[in-house]
Amino acid sequence: MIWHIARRELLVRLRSPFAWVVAGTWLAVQGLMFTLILGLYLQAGSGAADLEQEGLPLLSGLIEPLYSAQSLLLLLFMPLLSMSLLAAEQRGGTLSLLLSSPVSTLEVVLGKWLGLLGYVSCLLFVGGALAPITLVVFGDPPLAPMAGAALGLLLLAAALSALGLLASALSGSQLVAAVVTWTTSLGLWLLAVLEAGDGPFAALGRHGSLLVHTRSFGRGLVDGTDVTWLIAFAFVALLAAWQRLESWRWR
Amino acid sequence: MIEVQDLVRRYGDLVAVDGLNLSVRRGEVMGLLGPNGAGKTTTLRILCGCLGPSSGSVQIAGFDLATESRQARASLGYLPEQPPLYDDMSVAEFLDYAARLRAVARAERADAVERAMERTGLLEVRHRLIGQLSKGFRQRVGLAQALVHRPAVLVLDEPTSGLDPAQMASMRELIADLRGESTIVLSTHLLSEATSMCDRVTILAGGRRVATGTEEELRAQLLDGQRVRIEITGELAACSEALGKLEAVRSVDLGDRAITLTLTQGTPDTLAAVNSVAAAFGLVSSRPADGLEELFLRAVDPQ
Repeated sequence: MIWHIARRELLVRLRSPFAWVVAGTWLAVQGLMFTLILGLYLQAGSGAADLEQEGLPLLSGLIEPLYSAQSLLLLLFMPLLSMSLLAAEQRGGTLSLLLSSPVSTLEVVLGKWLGLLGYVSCLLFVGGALAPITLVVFGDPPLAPMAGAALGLLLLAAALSALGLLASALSGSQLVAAVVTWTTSLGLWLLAVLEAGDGPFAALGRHGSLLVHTRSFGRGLVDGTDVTWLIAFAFVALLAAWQRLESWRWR
Repeated sequence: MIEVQDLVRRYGDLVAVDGLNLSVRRGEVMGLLGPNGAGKTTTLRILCGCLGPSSGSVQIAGFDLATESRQARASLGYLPEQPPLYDDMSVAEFLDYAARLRAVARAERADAVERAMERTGLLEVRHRLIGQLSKGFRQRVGLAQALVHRPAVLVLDEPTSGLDPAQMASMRELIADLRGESTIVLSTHLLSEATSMCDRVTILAGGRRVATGTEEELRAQLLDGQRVRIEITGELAACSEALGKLEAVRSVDLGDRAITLTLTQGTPDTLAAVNSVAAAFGLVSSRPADGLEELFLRAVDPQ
Protein backbone atom coordinates (compact mmCIF):
# COMPACT_ATOMS: atom_id res chain seq x y z
CA MET A 1 0.00 0.00 0.00
CA ILE A 2 2.83 2.39 0.85
CA TRP A 3 4.25 1.82 -2.62
CA HIS A 4 0.91 2.54 -4.34
CA ILE A 5 0.56 5.87 -2.54
CA ALA A 6 4.23 6.80 -3.16
CA ARG A 7 3.87 5.83 -6.83
CA ARG A 8 0.88 8.16 -7.28
CA GLU A 9 2.83 11.02 -5.69
CA LEU A 10 5.68 10.47 -8.12
CA LEU A 11 3.54 10.03 -11.23
CA VAL A 12 1.43 13.09 -10.51
CA ARG A 13 4.52 15.23 -10.03
CA LEU A 14 5.94 14.03 -13.31
CA ARG A 15 2.93 15.50 -15.12
CA SER A 16 2.33 18.55 -12.98
CA PRO A 17 3.37 21.80 -14.70
CA PHE A 18 4.05 23.33 -11.29
CA ALA A 19 6.42 20.49 -10.34
CA TRP A 20 8.24 20.92 -13.67
CA VAL A 21 8.58 24.67 -13.13
CA VAL A 22 10.02 24.01 -9.67
CA ALA A 23 12.32 21.31 -11.05
CA GLY A 24 13.46 23.55 -13.93
CA THR A 25 14.17 26.47 -11.60
CA TRP A 26 15.95 24.20 -9.15
CA LEU A 27 18.19 22.70 -11.84
CA ALA A 28 18.90 26.11 -13.41
CA VAL A 29 19.93 27.58 -10.05
CA GLN A 30 21.91 24.45 -9.28
CA GLY A 31 23.77 24.69 -12.60
CA LEU A 32 24.41 28.39 -12.11
CA MET A 33 25.79 27.82 -8.63
CA PHE A 34 28.05 25.04 -9.87
CA THR A 35 29.40 27.28 -12.64
CA LEU A 36 30.01 30.14 -10.22
CA ILE A 37 31.68 27.97 -7.57
CA LEU A 38 33.79 26.19 -10.16
CA GLY A 39 34.75 29.56 -11.71
CA LEU A 40 35.79 30.96 -8.33
CA TYR A 41 37.75 27.82 -7.56
CA LEU A 42 39.60 27.91 -10.88
CA GLN A 43 40.22 31.66 -10.59
CA ALA A 44 41.72 31.20 -7.13
CA GLY A 45 44.17 28.66 -8.52
CA SER A 46 44.65 30.04 -12.03
CA GLY A 47 47.79 28.85 -13.71
CA ALA A 48 48.33 26.03 -11.32
CA ALA A 49 48.72 22.67 -12.99
CA ASP A 50 47.61 20.80 -9.94
CA LEU A 51 45.21 22.80 -7.83
CA GLU A 52 45.45 20.60 -4.77
CA GLN A 53 49.21 20.89 -4.76
CA GLU A 54 48.90 24.68 -4.97
CA GLY A 55 47.11 24.65 -1.61
CA LEU A 56 43.54 24.80 -2.88
CA PRO A 57 41.94 21.67 -1.51
CA LEU A 58 39.18 20.34 -3.71
CA LEU A 59 37.13 19.44 -0.67
CA SER A 60 36.90 22.87 0.94
CA GLY A 61 37.22 24.80 -2.31
CA LEU A 62 34.62 22.99 -4.35
CA ILE A 63 32.77 20.08 -2.75
CA GLU A 64 31.82 21.88 0.48
CA PRO A 65 30.47 25.03 -1.24
CA LEU A 66 28.56 22.83 -3.68
CA TYR A 67 27.09 20.87 -0.79
CA SER A 68 26.07 24.08 0.99
CA ALA A 69 24.45 25.39 -2.17
CA GLN A 70 22.44 22.17 -2.58
CA SER A 71 21.38 22.32 1.09
CA LEU A 72 20.11 25.87 0.64
CA LEU A 73 18.21 24.84 -2.47
CA LEU A 74 16.54 22.07 -0.49
CA LEU A 75 15.63 24.55 2.21
CA LEU A 76 14.12 26.97 -0.30
CA PHE A 77 12.31 24.55 -2.60
CA MET A 78 11.10 21.82 -0.28
CA PRO A 79 8.12 23.84 1.08
CA LEU A 80 6.86 24.31 -2.48
CA LEU A 81 7.02 20.59 -3.13
CA SER A 82 5.62 19.39 0.18
CA MET A 83 2.80 21.89 0.69
CA SER A 84 0.22 19.88 -1.28
CA LEU A 85 0.93 16.46 0.24
CA LEU A 86 -2.00 16.32 2.65
CA ALA A 87 -3.42 19.85 2.44
CA ALA A 88 -4.63 19.17 -1.11
CA GLU A 89 -6.24 15.91 0.01
CA GLN A 90 -8.10 17.81 2.74
CA ARG A 91 -9.16 20.62 0.43
CA GLY A 92 -10.09 18.36 -2.49
CA GLY A 93 -12.13 15.92 -0.40
CA THR A 94 -9.98 12.98 -1.51
CA LEU A 95 -8.99 12.13 2.04
CA SER A 96 -12.21 10.12 2.33
CA LEU A 97 -10.92 7.81 -0.41
CA LEU A 98 -7.81 7.06 1.66
CA LEU A 99 -9.59 6.81 5.00
CA SER A 100 -12.32 4.50 3.70
CA SER A 101 -9.83 2.19 1.95
CA PRO A 102 -8.14 -0.71 3.74
CA VAL A 103 -5.05 1.45 4.26
CA SER A 104 -3.74 2.58 7.63
CA THR A 105 -3.07 6.25 8.25
CA LEU A 106 0.57 5.33 8.92
CA GLU A 107 0.79 3.84 5.43
CA VAL A 108 -0.69 7.02 3.98
CA VAL A 109 1.91 9.15 5.77
CA LEU A 110 4.82 6.91 4.77
CA GLY A 111 3.63 6.63 1.18
CA LYS A 112 3.32 10.40 0.80
CA TRP A 113 6.71 10.97 2.42
CA LEU A 114 8.51 8.38 0.31
CA GLY A 115 6.85 9.67 -2.87
CA LEU A 116 8.14 13.18 -2.24
CA LEU A 117 11.54 11.92 -1.11
CA GLY A 118 11.81 9.89 -4.32
CA TYR A 119 11.03 12.94 -6.43
CA VAL A 120 13.50 15.15 -4.55
CA SER A 121 16.16 12.44 -4.78
CA CYS A 122 15.67 12.45 -8.56
CA LEU A 123 16.25 16.21 -8.58
CA LEU A 124 19.30 15.92 -6.33
CA PHE A 125 21.03 12.89 -7.75
CA VAL A 126 19.80 12.57 -11.34
CA GLY A 127 19.18 16.20 -12.29
CA GLY A 128 22.05 17.33 -10.10
CA ALA A 129 24.51 14.69 -11.30
CA LEU A 130 26.18 17.17 -13.68
CA ALA A 131 28.47 18.59 -11.00
CA PRO A 132 29.93 15.33 -9.67
CA ILE A 133 30.21 13.85 -13.17
CA THR A 134 32.14 16.92 -14.34
CA LEU A 135 34.47 16.63 -11.37
CA VAL A 136 35.06 12.92 -11.93
CA VAL A 137 35.64 13.33 -15.67
CA PHE A 138 37.93 16.37 -15.49
CA GLY A 139 39.57 15.84 -12.14
CA ASP A 140 40.32 13.33 -9.52
CA PRO A 141 37.98 14.22 -6.65
CA PRO A 142 37.98 12.23 -3.39
CA LEU A 143 34.99 9.91 -3.77
CA ALA A 144 34.40 9.12 -0.09
CA PRO A 145 33.70 12.76 0.92
CA MET A 146 31.44 13.10 -2.11
CA ALA A 147 29.46 10.05 -0.98
CA GLY A 148 29.30 11.55 2.53
CA ALA A 149 27.93 14.80 1.10
CA ALA A 150 25.34 12.85 -0.91
CA LEU A 151 24.26 11.03 2.27
CA GLY A 152 23.98 14.37 4.07
CA LEU A 153 21.76 15.78 1.33
CA LEU A 154 19.55 12.68 1.36
CA LEU A 155 19.13 12.88 5.14
CA LEU A 156 18.40 16.60 4.98
CA ALA A 157 15.82 15.97 2.23
CA ALA A 158 14.26 13.22 4.37
CA ALA A 159 14.02 15.53 7.39
CA LEU A 160 12.64 18.48 5.43
CA SER A 161 10.13 16.26 3.56
CA ALA A 162 8.85 14.98 6.89
CA LEU A 163 8.59 18.55 8.22
CA GLY A 164 6.74 19.63 5.07
CA LEU A 165 4.37 16.67 5.38
CA LEU A 166 3.61 17.60 8.99
CA ALA A 167 2.90 21.24 8.02
CA SER A 168 0.67 20.00 5.21
CA ALA A 169 -1.22 17.80 7.67
CA LEU A 170 -1.65 20.66 10.11
CA SER A 171 -3.23 23.05 7.64
CA GLY A 172 -5.86 22.71 4.94
CA SER A 173 -4.20 25.58 3.08
CA GLN A 174 -1.20 24.83 0.88
CA LEU A 175 0.07 28.39 1.25
CA VAL A 176 0.00 28.20 5.04
CA ALA A 177 1.70 24.79 4.89
CA ALA A 178 4.50 26.21 2.70
CA VAL A 179 5.00 29.24 4.95
CA VAL A 180 5.08 27.05 8.08
CA THR A 181 7.68 24.74 6.51
CA TRP A 182 9.78 27.70 5.34
CA THR A 183 9.77 29.53 8.66
CA THR A 184 10.35 26.40 10.73
CA SER A 185 13.18 25.05 8.61
CA LEU A 186 14.87 28.45 8.22
CA GLY A 187 14.46 29.07 11.96
CA LEU A 188 16.04 25.73 12.77
CA TRP A 189 18.81 26.45 10.24
CA LEU A 190 19.58 29.88 11.70
CA LEU A 191 19.72 28.57 15.26
CA ALA A 192 23.36 27.97 14.38
CA VAL A 193 24.11 31.66 15.05
CA LEU A 194 23.56 30.99 18.77
CA GLU A 195 26.29 28.41 18.75
CA ALA A 196 29.03 31.01 19.13
CA GLY A 197 27.61 32.37 22.40
CA ASP A 198 27.56 30.96 25.92
CA GLY A 199 25.08 29.26 28.17
CA PRO A 200 21.85 27.51 27.31
CA PHE A 201 21.39 29.43 24.06
CA ALA A 202 24.69 28.12 22.77
CA ALA A 203 23.59 24.61 23.68
CA LEU A 204 20.34 25.23 21.83
CA GLY A 205 22.29 26.34 18.77
CA ARG A 206 24.64 23.37 19.03
CA HIS A 207 21.96 20.75 19.50
CA GLY A 208 18.91 22.21 17.78
CA SER A 209 20.26 23.69 14.57
CA LEU A 210 19.71 21.95 11.25
CA LEU A 211 22.84 23.65 9.89
CA VAL A 212 25.03 22.38 12.72
CA HIS A 213 23.84 18.83 12.14
CA THR A 214 24.29 18.87 8.38
CA ARG A 215 27.45 20.90 7.71
CA SER A 216 29.94 18.18 8.59
CA PHE A 217 28.67 16.05 5.69
CA GLY A 218 29.94 18.73 3.31
CA ARG A 219 33.44 18.22 4.70
CA GLY A 220 33.17 14.54 4.01
CA LEU A 221 32.57 13.67 7.66
CA VAL A 222 29.76 11.28 8.48
CA ASP A 223 29.13 11.80 12.18
CA GLY A 224 26.91 9.24 13.90
CA THR A 225 25.34 11.96 16.08
CA ASP A 226 24.33 14.01 13.04
CA VAL A 227 22.92 10.97 11.25
CA THR A 228 20.92 10.01 14.35
CA TRP A 229 19.72 13.61 14.85
CA LEU A 230 18.44 13.89 11.28
CA ILE A 231 16.75 10.47 11.36
CA ALA A 232 15.16 11.32 14.73
CA PHE A 233 13.99 14.67 13.31
CA ALA A 234 12.28 12.94 10.38
CA PHE A 235 10.87 10.25 12.68
CA VAL A 236 9.30 12.75 15.09
CA ALA A 237 7.83 14.82 12.26
CA LEU A 238 6.37 11.70 10.61
CA LEU A 239 4.98 10.51 13.93
CA ALA A 240 3.32 13.88 14.50
CA ALA A 241 1.91 13.88 10.94
CA TRP A 242 0.55 10.37 11.49
CA GLN A 243 -1.12 11.38 14.74
CA ARG A 244 -2.56 14.46 13.08
CA LEU A 245 -4.02 12.35 10.27
CA GLU A 246 -5.40 9.85 12.77
CA SER A 247 -6.97 12.70 14.75
CA TRP A 248 -9.08 13.68 11.72
CA ARG A 249 -11.24 10.65 12.43
CA TRP A 250 -12.03 12.04 15.87
CA ARG A 251 -12.56 15.73 15.17
CA MET B 1 -24.59 -7.31 6.59
CA ILE B 2 -24.49 -4.01 8.51
CA GLU B 3 -25.18 -3.87 12.21
CA VAL B 4 -25.11 -0.56 14.05
CA GLN B 5 -25.66 -0.57 17.79
CA ASP B 6 -26.16 2.40 20.10
CA LEU B 7 -24.12 4.64 17.84
CA VAL B 8 -23.34 8.07 19.25
CA ARG B 9 -21.27 10.82 17.66
CA ARG B 10 -20.65 14.14 19.35
CA TYR B 11 -18.98 17.25 17.96
CA GLY B 12 -18.21 19.07 21.19
CA ASP B 13 -21.59 19.73 22.79
CA LEU B 14 -23.53 18.91 19.64
CA VAL B 15 -24.84 15.35 19.42
CA ALA B 16 -24.97 14.57 15.70
CA VAL B 17 -25.94 10.91 16.08
CA ASP B 18 -27.79 9.94 19.22
CA GLY B 19 -28.04 6.24 20.07
CA LEU B 20 -28.71 4.97 16.56
CA ASN B 21 -29.51 1.29 15.99
CA LEU B 22 -29.64 0.02 12.45
CA SER B 23 -29.64 -3.37 10.78
CA VAL B 24 -29.29 -3.84 7.04
CA ARG B 25 -29.78 -7.27 5.52
CA ARG B 26 -27.63 -8.78 2.78
CA GLY B 27 -28.57 -7.51 -0.68
CA GLU B 28 -30.93 -4.90 0.71
CA VAL B 29 -31.07 -1.24 -0.35
CA MET B 30 -31.52 0.88 2.76
CA GLY B 31 -32.20 4.59 2.52
CA LEU B 32 -31.34 7.08 5.22
CA LEU B 33 -33.84 9.87 4.93
CA GLY B 34 -33.91 13.11 6.82
CA PRO B 35 -33.54 16.85 6.57
CA ASN B 36 -30.16 18.58 6.63
CA GLY B 37 -28.50 18.10 10.00
CA ALA B 38 -30.39 14.88 10.74
CA GLY B 39 -27.13 12.93 11.09
CA LYS B 40 -27.18 11.08 7.75
CA THR B 41 -23.70 12.07 6.54
CA THR B 42 -22.17 11.60 9.99
CA THR B 43 -23.67 8.11 10.17
CA LEU B 44 -22.38 7.18 6.71
CA ARG B 45 -18.89 8.58 7.45
CA ILE B 46 -18.78 6.42 10.57
CA LEU B 47 -19.95 3.36 8.60
CA CYS B 48 -17.09 3.72 6.12
CA GLY B 49 -14.41 4.34 8.73
CA CYS B 50 -13.76 8.00 7.88
CA LEU B 51 -15.04 9.14 11.26
CA GLY B 52 -14.74 7.50 14.65
CA PRO B 53 -17.85 7.09 16.82
CA SER B 54 -18.03 8.60 20.32
CA SER B 55 -19.56 5.31 21.43
CA GLY B 56 -21.42 2.33 20.02
CA SER B 57 -20.39 -0.35 17.58
CA VAL B 58 -20.54 -0.96 13.83
CA GLN B 59 -20.15 -4.27 12.04
CA ILE B 60 -19.63 -4.42 8.28
CA ALA B 61 -19.90 -7.84 6.62
CA GLY B 62 -19.26 -9.48 9.97
CA PHE B 63 -16.17 -7.41 10.78
CA ASP B 64 -16.12 -5.04 13.70
CA LEU B 65 -15.12 -1.60 12.43
CA ALA B 66 -13.17 -0.82 15.61
CA THR B 67 -11.17 -4.03 15.99
CA GLU B 68 -11.11 -5.38 12.40
CA SER B 69 -11.07 -2.05 10.64
CA ARG B 70 -8.98 -3.10 7.65
CA GLN B 71 -11.19 -6.10 6.79
CA ALA B 72 -14.35 -4.06 7.35
CA ARG B 73 -13.10 -1.27 5.06
CA ALA B 74 -12.00 -3.79 2.43
CA SER B 75 -15.62 -4.95 2.31
CA LEU B 76 -17.09 -1.57 1.48
CA GLY B 77 -17.09 1.10 -1.18
CA TYR B 78 -17.89 4.70 -0.31
CA LEU B 79 -19.14 7.55 -2.44
CA PRO B 80 -19.24 10.74 -0.37
CA GLU B 81 -21.47 13.67 -1.32
CA GLN B 82 -18.45 15.29 -2.94
CA PRO B 83 -16.84 12.49 -5.00
CA PRO B 84 -13.19 11.98 -3.96
CA LEU B 85 -11.52 12.57 -7.31
CA TYR B 86 -8.04 13.64 -8.42
CA ASP B 87 -8.52 16.12 -11.26
CA ASP B 88 -4.98 15.52 -12.53
CA MET B 89 -5.54 11.82 -13.27
CA SER B 90 -7.36 10.22 -16.17
CA VAL B 91 -10.44 8.14 -15.41
CA ALA B 92 -8.64 4.83 -16.06
CA GLU B 93 -5.59 5.84 -14.01
CA PHE B 94 -7.72 6.95 -11.10
CA LEU B 95 -9.73 3.73 -11.07
CA ASP B 96 -6.50 1.75 -11.24
CA TYR B 97 -5.26 3.70 -8.20
CA ALA B 98 -8.57 3.10 -6.38
CA ALA B 99 -8.28 -0.63 -7.15
CA ARG B 100 -4.73 -0.67 -5.76
CA LEU B 101 -5.90 1.09 -2.57
CA ARG B 102 -8.71 -1.47 -2.24
CA ALA B 103 -6.14 -4.28 -2.46
CA VAL B 104 -7.41 -5.75 -5.75
CA ALA B 105 -4.84 -8.37 -6.80
CA ARG B 106 -2.49 -7.29 -9.60
CA ALA B 107 -3.73 -10.01 -11.98
CA GLU B 108 -7.35 -8.90 -11.56
CA ARG B 109 -6.79 -5.16 -11.51
CA ALA B 110 -7.12 -4.41 -15.22
CA ASP B 111 -10.34 -6.43 -15.46
CA ALA B 112 -11.73 -4.78 -12.34
CA VAL B 113 -11.10 -1.31 -13.76
CA GLU B 114 -12.57 -2.28 -17.13
CA ARG B 115 -15.67 -3.76 -15.50
CA ALA B 116 -16.21 -0.70 -13.28
CA MET B 117 -15.95 1.63 -16.30
CA GLU B 118 -18.33 -0.52 -18.32
CA ARG B 119 -20.78 -0.70 -15.45
CA THR B 120 -20.88 3.06 -15.02
CA GLY B 121 -20.69 4.04 -18.69
CA LEU B 122 -17.23 5.54 -18.54
CA LEU B 123 -15.51 3.67 -21.39
CA GLU B 124 -15.84 6.62 -23.77
CA VAL B 125 -14.07 9.00 -21.34
CA ARG B 126 -11.48 6.56 -19.97
CA HIS B 127 -8.50 8.62 -21.18
CA ARG B 128 -9.95 12.02 -20.28
CA LEU B 129 -8.61 13.90 -17.28
CA ILE B 130 -11.15 13.89 -14.47
CA GLY B 131 -10.83 17.66 -14.12
CA GLN B 132 -12.30 18.04 -17.62
CA LEU B 133 -15.42 15.94 -16.98
CA SER B 134 -18.99 17.17 -16.49
CA LYS B 135 -20.68 16.88 -13.11
CA GLY B 136 -22.63 13.80 -14.23
CA PHE B 137 -19.51 11.96 -15.39
CA ARG B 138 -17.64 12.96 -12.22
CA GLN B 139 -20.41 11.40 -10.17
CA ARG B 140 -20.12 8.23 -12.28
CA VAL B 141 -16.37 8.11 -11.67
CA GLY B 142 -17.13 8.50 -7.96
CA LEU B 143 -19.48 5.53 -8.13
CA ALA B 144 -16.98 3.52 -10.21
CA GLN B 145 -14.23 3.97 -7.60
CA ALA B 146 -16.65 2.80 -4.91
CA LEU B 147 -17.48 -0.45 -6.72
CA VAL B 148 -14.19 -1.23 -8.50
CA HIS B 149 -13.35 -3.94 -5.95
CA ARG B 150 -16.91 -5.40 -5.98
CA PRO B 151 -17.56 -4.61 -2.33
CA ALA B 152 -20.15 -6.42 -0.26
CA VAL B 153 -21.40 -3.06 1.00
CA LEU B 154 -21.85 0.20 -0.89
CA VAL B 155 -22.27 3.43 1.05
CA LEU B 156 -23.59 6.30 -1.06
CA ASP B 157 -24.06 9.77 0.40
CA GLU B 158 -26.68 11.70 -1.56
CA PRO B 159 -25.63 10.12 -4.87
CA THR B 160 -27.99 12.24 -6.96
CA SER B 161 -27.28 15.53 -5.22
CA GLY B 162 -26.49 18.41 -7.59
CA LEU B 163 -27.31 16.46 -10.76
CA ASP B 164 -29.76 17.63 -13.42
CA PRO B 165 -32.94 15.53 -13.89
CA ALA B 166 -31.46 13.43 -16.72
CA GLN B 167 -28.26 12.75 -14.78
CA MET B 168 -30.34 11.97 -11.69
CA ALA B 169 -32.37 9.38 -13.60
CA SER B 170 -29.20 7.87 -15.01
CA MET B 171 -27.59 7.63 -11.56
CA ARG B 172 -30.74 6.01 -10.15
CA GLU B 173 -30.63 3.45 -12.96
CA LEU B 174 -27.00 2.68 -12.15
CA ILE B 175 -27.84 2.15 -8.50
CA ALA B 176 -30.86 0.01 -9.40
CA ASP B 177 -28.50 -2.13 -11.50
CA LEU B 178 -26.42 -2.84 -8.40
CA ARG B 179 -29.43 -4.05 -6.41
CA GLY B 180 -28.86 -7.58 -5.15
CA GLU B 181 -25.15 -7.50 -5.98
CA SER B 182 -24.11 -5.36 -3.03
CA THR B 183 -25.86 -4.30 0.12
CA ILE B 184 -26.46 -0.59 -0.37
CA VAL B 185 -26.95 2.18 2.17
CA LEU B 186 -27.70 5.55 0.65
CA SER B 187 -28.76 8.86 2.06
CA THR B 188 -31.16 11.33 0.57
CA HIS B 189 -33.40 14.12 1.71
CA LEU B 190 -36.00 13.32 -0.95
CA LEU B 191 -38.79 11.04 0.22
CA SER B 192 -39.81 10.07 -3.31
CA GLU B 193 -36.22 9.03 -4.10
CA ALA B 194 -35.96 7.00 -0.90
CA THR B 195 -39.21 5.12 -1.43
CA SER B 196 -38.57 4.48 -5.14
CA MET B 197 -34.95 3.31 -4.80
CA CYS B 198 -34.86 1.57 -1.45
CA ASP B 199 -36.29 -1.63 -0.04
CA ARG B 200 -36.49 -0.03 3.37
CA VAL B 201 -36.04 3.49 4.64
CA THR B 202 -34.80 4.77 7.98
CA ILE B 203 -35.97 8.26 8.82
CA LEU B 204 -33.57 10.28 10.95
CA ALA B 205 -34.23 13.52 12.76
CA GLY B 206 -31.90 15.24 15.21
CA GLY B 207 -29.53 12.28 15.11
CA ARG B 208 -32.24 9.86 16.20
CA ARG B 209 -34.13 7.21 14.32
CA VAL B 210 -37.76 8.20 13.89
CA ALA B 211 -38.95 5.20 11.89
CA THR B 212 -37.66 2.29 9.81
CA GLY B 213 -39.38 0.11 7.30
CA THR B 214 -40.98 -0.25 3.91
CA GLU B 215 -43.30 2.48 2.68
CA GLU B 216 -46.32 0.81 4.30
CA GLU B 217 -44.48 0.14 7.54
CA LEU B 218 -43.34 3.74 7.68
CA ARG B 219 -46.88 4.93 7.20
CA ALA B 220 -48.03 2.78 10.11
CA GLN B 221 -45.14 3.90 12.33
CA LEU B 222 -45.68 7.55 11.54
CA LEU B 223 -49.41 7.45 12.23
CA ASP B 224 -48.94 8.58 15.80
CA GLY B 225 -50.86 11.82 16.13
CA GLN B 226 -51.87 11.62 12.49
CA ARG B 227 -55.23 11.57 10.80
CA VAL B 228 -57.31 8.74 9.32
CA ARG B 229 -60.25 9.20 6.99
CA ILE B 230 -63.14 6.70 7.44
CA GLU B 231 -65.92 6.19 4.89
CA ILE B 232 -68.98 4.14 5.86
CA THR B 233 -72.41 3.33 4.46
CA GLY B 234 -74.17 3.64 7.86
CA GLU B 235 -75.02 6.53 10.12
CA LEU B 236 -72.06 8.94 10.34
CA ALA B 237 -73.03 10.55 13.64
CA ALA B 238 -73.49 7.23 15.46
CA CYS B 239 -70.22 5.89 14.11
CA SER B 240 -68.45 9.09 15.05
CA GLU B 241 -69.76 8.80 18.62
CA ALA B 242 -68.61 5.17 18.85
CA LEU B 243 -65.17 5.99 17.49
CA GLY B 244 -64.83 8.95 19.85
CA LYS B 245 -65.03 6.56 22.79
CA LEU B 246 -61.86 4.73 21.72
CA GLU B 247 -58.82 5.51 23.85
CA ALA B 248 -56.57 5.82 20.81
CA VAL B 249 -58.75 8.49 19.21
CA ARG B 250 -57.90 12.04 20.19
CA SER B 251 -60.56 13.83 18.17
CA VAL B 252 -63.28 13.14 15.64
CA ASP B 253 -64.19 15.46 12.81
CA LEU B 254 -67.57 14.71 11.29
CA GLY B 255 -67.80 15.59 7.62
CA ASP B 256 -70.61 15.34 5.04
CA ARG B 257 -69.46 12.02 3.63
CA ALA B 258 -66.69 10.78 5.92
CA ILE B 259 -65.24 10.92 9.39
CA THR B 260 -61.67 12.12 10.00
CA LEU B 261 -60.00 10.86 13.17
CA THR B 262 -56.87 12.10 14.84
CA LEU B 263 -55.10 9.24 16.58
CA THR B 264 -53.06 9.37 19.75
CA GLN B 265 -51.19 6.16 18.95
CA GLY B 266 -50.29 5.08 15.48
CA THR B 267 -49.76 1.35 15.85
CA PRO B 268 -51.36 -1.16 13.47
CA ASP B 269 -53.42 -2.33 16.50
CA THR B 270 -54.94 1.11 16.80
CA LEU B 271 -55.97 1.07 13.18
CA ALA B 272 -57.42 -2.40 13.60
CA ALA B 273 -59.51 -1.21 16.57
CA VAL B 274 -60.77 1.77 14.59
CA ASN B 275 -61.62 -0.41 11.60
CA SER B 276 -63.39 -2.94 13.79
CA VAL B 277 -65.69 -0.24 15.24
CA ALA B 278 -66.29 1.28 11.81
CA ALA B 279 -67.06 -2.15 10.34
CA ALA B 280 -70.25 -2.25 12.38
CA PHE B 281 -71.39 0.85 10.48
CA GLY B 282 -70.60 -0.53 7.01
CA LEU B 283 -66.96 0.38 6.55
CA VAL B 284 -66.15 1.28 2.95
CA SER B 285 -62.60 2.56 3.33
CA SER B 286 -60.13 3.54 6.02
CA ARG B 287 -56.98 5.32 4.92
CA PRO B 288 -54.53 7.93 6.12
CA ALA B 289 -55.81 11.42 5.50
CA ASP B 290 -52.24 12.64 4.90
CA GLY B 291 -49.75 11.58 2.24
CA LEU B 292 -46.44 10.02 3.24
CA GLU B 293 -44.72 13.33 2.48
CA GLU B 294 -46.82 15.12 5.14
CA LEU B 295 -46.24 12.29 7.60
CA PHE B 296 -42.51 12.51 6.98
CA LEU B 297 -42.45 16.27 7.42
CA ARG B 298 -44.39 16.04 10.68
CA ALA B 299 -42.14 13.24 11.91
CA VAL B 300 -38.90 15.15 11.33
CA ASP B 301 -40.30 18.46 12.52
CA PRO B 302 -43.21 18.00 14.94
CA GLN B 303 -43.54 21.80 15.37
